[in-house]
Amino acid sequence: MTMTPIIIWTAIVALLLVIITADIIVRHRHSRHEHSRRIRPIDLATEREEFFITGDRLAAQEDDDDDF
Amino acid sequence: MTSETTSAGTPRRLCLFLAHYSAVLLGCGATCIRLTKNVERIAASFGYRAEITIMPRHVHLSVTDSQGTDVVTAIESVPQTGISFALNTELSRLSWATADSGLSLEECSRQFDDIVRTTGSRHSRTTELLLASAANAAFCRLFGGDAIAMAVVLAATMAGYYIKQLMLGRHIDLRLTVIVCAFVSSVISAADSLFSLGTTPAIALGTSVLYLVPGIPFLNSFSDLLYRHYICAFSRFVDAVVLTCCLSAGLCAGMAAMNSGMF
Amino acid sequence: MISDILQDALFAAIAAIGFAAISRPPRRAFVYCAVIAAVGHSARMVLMSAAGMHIVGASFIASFTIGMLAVFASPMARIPAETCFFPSLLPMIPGIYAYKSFGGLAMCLLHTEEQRFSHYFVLFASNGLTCLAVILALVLGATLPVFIFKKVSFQATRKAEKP
Repeated sequence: MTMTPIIIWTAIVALLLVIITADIIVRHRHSRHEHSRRIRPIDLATEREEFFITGDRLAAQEDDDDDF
Repeated sequence: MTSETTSAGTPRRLCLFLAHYSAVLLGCGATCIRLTKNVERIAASFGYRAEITIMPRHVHLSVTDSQGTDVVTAIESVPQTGISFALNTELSRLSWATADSGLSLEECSRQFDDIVRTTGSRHSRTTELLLASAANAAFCRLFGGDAIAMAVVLAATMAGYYIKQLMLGRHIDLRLTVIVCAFVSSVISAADSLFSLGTTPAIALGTSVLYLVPGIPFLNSFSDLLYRHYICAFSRFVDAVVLTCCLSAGLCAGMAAMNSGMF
Repeated sequence: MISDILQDALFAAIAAIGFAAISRPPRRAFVYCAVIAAVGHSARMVLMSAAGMHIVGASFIASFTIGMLAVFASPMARIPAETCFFPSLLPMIPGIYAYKSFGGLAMCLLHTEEQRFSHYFVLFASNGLTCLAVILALVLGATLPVFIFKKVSFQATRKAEKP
């Protein structure tokens, strides 16, 4: 029973090291090859929040014909 | 979405600009009172009156001319961009510059776009990570942790904060992020008790997740409460409570995995 | 005692700088936040340990001190007063009370036996009430100077010389 927390701890630390190393490598490659597509092996995104980019907002809201 | 009583002109453009300005200012964590004052100041500098209704996820803005004959209303969603006091400061300064220097709407709008583009993106991930980790280690000391507990908390915070930056960078929901980061930090900080390091393992475990406590939303909610913006105050309070629940959930899961008791 | 106060001030300053960095203040705000947080936190420590004051009362007085310093520092730094005092208040936010109260609530759900349920409910209620009271005291104390010195605090980002 006392070994289980140590095993879990070791597994989580190992997983973290793998994730952090992979992220650093991917970001390093991404910064070297700026036009290459970013690799996302696991996509956990559940909701993409909207962020207003000022140019797009002006283009989207200038439509006077909308009748809401 | 707009409704207007006359044809498009300065009131409409001003209203649209102010709605966007309000949404960005609210999104970066400004209090309702600051938002109201800044918007009224800008509108007054153009000879108009602005009335603003601040809702948790939207702002409703009405701009009226001095005679009260021309009214334009706009509604805009608040972007979820994260707290930025730098953006808050620059946008407040812009409101004063508009009032004092008599900037035109075009110039004001151009400066606003510059501010959002530059100030909003100017931060270093590594610096944030190191400072937040040092802060949490300092917190551990303030609660009576020894040097080993501080080192463990430093490592736990660095790992947790890195994962937080990674997950938020991929637009993963903040609530799930907080649960995962609290779990990670509490598991790593349990090293203190697992390997019998130092004399204050409980303090290390307890303080390892404090960087996730939503301090600014709590402070903002009570600040809005004092200025009687009860809807925003309640909304911000619920946001903060939900994040604290997520933190507790992650911490409880970490403690259960490590067989640690704290409650 | 003096060394304890200085140590408390130093670590509170480090904590304020670090937590301030998460909310991305302007760079020039860091120094002000660090100094103000150091003064406020060590004041609270002195009030609680030497004067035996309750955490809520001590937090109120400490945050009033922080608010006063922030209101007069903000025009010098040309930043809004809340940019100065919000990060300075962060080291005093009762984070442990907050998550312990929700931990207690979760334990209440897991233990239906009356004695244990009561124990965890007391944990939830006492930690939760203390947390709410401390945060209210912090915000009230820091906002009072803003109310009192309205002209100073709401014009902090205004340029000193009008063109």
